[in-house]
Amino acid sequence: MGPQAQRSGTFTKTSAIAAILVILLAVPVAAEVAIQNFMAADVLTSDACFSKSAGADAAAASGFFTFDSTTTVTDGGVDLIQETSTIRAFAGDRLLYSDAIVFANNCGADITVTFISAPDPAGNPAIDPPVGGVWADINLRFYLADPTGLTIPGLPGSWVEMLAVDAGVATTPGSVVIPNGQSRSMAVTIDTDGAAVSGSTGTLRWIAAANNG
Amino acid sequence: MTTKPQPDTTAPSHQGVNYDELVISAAKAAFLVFAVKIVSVYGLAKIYGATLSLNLWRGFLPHLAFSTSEETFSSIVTWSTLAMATAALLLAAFTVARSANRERQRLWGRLVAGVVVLETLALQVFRQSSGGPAVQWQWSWLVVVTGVAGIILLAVPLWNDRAARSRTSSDSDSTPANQVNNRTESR
Repeated sequence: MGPQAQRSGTFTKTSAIAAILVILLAVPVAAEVAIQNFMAADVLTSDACFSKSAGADAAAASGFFTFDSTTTVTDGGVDLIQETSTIRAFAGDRLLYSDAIVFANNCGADITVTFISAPDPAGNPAIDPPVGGVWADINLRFYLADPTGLTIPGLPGSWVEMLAVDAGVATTPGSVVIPNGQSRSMAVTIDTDGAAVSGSTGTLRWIAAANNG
Repeated sequence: MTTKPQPDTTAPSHQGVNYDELVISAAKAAFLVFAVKIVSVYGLAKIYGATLSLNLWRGFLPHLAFSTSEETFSSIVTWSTLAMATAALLLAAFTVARSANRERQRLWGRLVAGVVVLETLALQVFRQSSGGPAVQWQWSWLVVVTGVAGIILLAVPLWNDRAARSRTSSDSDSTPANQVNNRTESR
């Protein structure tokens, strides 16, 4: 075969390596990008199956403990219900509320409830004011009634400690299983320093989280 | 009057290495496995009853989109990648089976098919590890075995060719007149 039949070289060594590198990069990416899975989720709204409502203390001792289930907090243009309690404490005293809030499970299965101290969706801090203020004079405890819990002096029945605030620092030590169709009361104990300034206020924001099982 | 020798522009470039053949062979091999991937995705989507559409990512990059369950999606991805690997293996077998195809640059180019298959699987594994459904682990080893088999099938004659060239080179050291007797490319 003579030189006339031979093809002149289009690619040099460098351009050939570059071309093959492009092939080695582009083709697998194209083969992978070519396939993307698109999923669909249908959302159906219904009433909350894990519900919170005022306990007997809110009704009987209005003014000392109130419960409001109509307050909302806005997150991304959506108004979420933020149940709000107002707890009155007395300087120098330990105050106990044995039936402050009732948590009910109508989810069709047992749920495990934990409390989480966290800022609300609008970004307001979990402990407000975050430093000092009234929280320097208050120790707060939230309990949920549970047969496996411990006896708390001054409270009837047995309880699991769910959330504690000491000197403005929150901890969430416990969890409680609420069987399907049952409810549990939340108790509150609040110790207030005798030097606490009358009329000072503090806010605690927390999440009552429910998980299956 | 003496004539100054002119360079031969019609000769394969760079000391007898035909880079055109290398790139064309690589492009053909890559296109083959890519086409097999797309066709098998389409066919598997029909078999599984998955809804398939052609969408544009960010308005310009076309891609196939499924509307199906994660399990079906990962099945389609896994088996279509195995089809790619099988195509690469068959291409390698076809190449080495025909002596006319046993040209060194063509063999190198067709190695690209096997490498593309393994890269595609690696991307899918990466995607899976990033949280998305991509592959069925229990079958992915078949892709690896098939892809690597295709690469080995091409690598063996390349290795033999290299050994033969090495021997030729050492022989020609003792016979300088044979030094120019390198391979030529013919079409």
